[in-house]
Amino acid sequence: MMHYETDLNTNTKLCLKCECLNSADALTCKQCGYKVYLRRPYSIALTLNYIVAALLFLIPANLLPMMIITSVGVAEGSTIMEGIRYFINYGEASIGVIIFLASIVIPIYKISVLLFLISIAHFKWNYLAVFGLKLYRTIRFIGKWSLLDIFVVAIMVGMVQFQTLANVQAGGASFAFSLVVILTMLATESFDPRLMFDKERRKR
Amino acid sequence: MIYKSACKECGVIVEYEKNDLNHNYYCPRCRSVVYAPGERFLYIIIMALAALVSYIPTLFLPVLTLDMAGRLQASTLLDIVFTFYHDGNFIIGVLLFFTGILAPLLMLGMLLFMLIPLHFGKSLSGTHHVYHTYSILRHWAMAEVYMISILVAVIKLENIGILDIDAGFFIFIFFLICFYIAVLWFNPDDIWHNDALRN
Repeated sequence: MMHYETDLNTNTKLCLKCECLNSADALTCKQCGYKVYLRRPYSIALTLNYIVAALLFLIPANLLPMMIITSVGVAEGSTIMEGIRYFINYGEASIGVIIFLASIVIPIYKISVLLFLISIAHFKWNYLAVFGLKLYRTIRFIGKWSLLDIFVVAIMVGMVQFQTLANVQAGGASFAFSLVVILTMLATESFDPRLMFDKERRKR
Repeated sequence: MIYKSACKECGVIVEYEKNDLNHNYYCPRCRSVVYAPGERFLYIIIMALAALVSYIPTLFLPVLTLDMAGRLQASTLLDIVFTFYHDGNFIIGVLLFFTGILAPLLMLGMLLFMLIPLHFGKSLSGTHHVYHTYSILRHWAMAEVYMISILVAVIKLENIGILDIDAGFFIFIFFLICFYIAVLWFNPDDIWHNDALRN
């Protein structure tokens, strides 16, 4: 493996805001004045925290109804999976697949990738770091798209307000699921990918 | 002039030409973009202004009209948000309002606030605070998710009544295109070393 000069072995600190190199003992950036850290503080602990919280909220998100449709007096709730099955049964399989990807595959993919990245950083599997970074870029890119289902529910609630004739209300899962998405996005942002490349474990 | 920096994603020390308008610079180890030249400030300002102008009608023109057994309901983007306040589900309402409506508007305002003084050769003292907020908001502006979800909702509502897509939706798409072109053209490096880009 090639040897690279990094900020660790040249005694510098990178400001993540303005990409300016500071000396290793600097506390604030000389260019923009923000706090500089060698690596993001408590990165792995914070990421794990957000992942555990997201996993907890994933359970009600899949069991509670996403939205409650009242049509001529009859209320009917439907969970995420039932909504997907509805689309596939009524000939709109492509939309069903999109919602399945956005609301079931992507959250699970994000959480498992983050756990994999944390183990790369913790067990110092440096040979996997470049591959891990590629995975990290994918989850950073697709993160926001899992909010798609929440937005669809929101638009339906906003559109269908005909008092007794037909009415759509947001169910408990929509709240739990939006928390899952926000927590996984926070987890992605608090993970510092440079930790995967570091050769030695540093003391705090 | 050679500028020394480090890769944000893997920490390798990289060197690049300051204000090089023709080349992208990549990290030798992880191949992430270290420096990509931004477009001229004037072009970004024009795009941001176009987005801002098309943004105002999207808020007040109806996006969709639903005709159900003779009863019409036209909804603007703001109407959709405000039904949540009446329902009591206001956390989702706030999320929707912030990510779909407020964050893009704030980002546009900040872009103009940063770039208009720089275009005329002045630099305001608060620029780095504004950029700090802007870089956080970039992750939370989800107007394009909002747009796609309108399309999904159209298909979902087809069985309930007759649906019309109104002018607001097309202006919204126009806004999105202008907004993302402005965001993509803007390169934050140019704020810090902008001497060559002023003209």
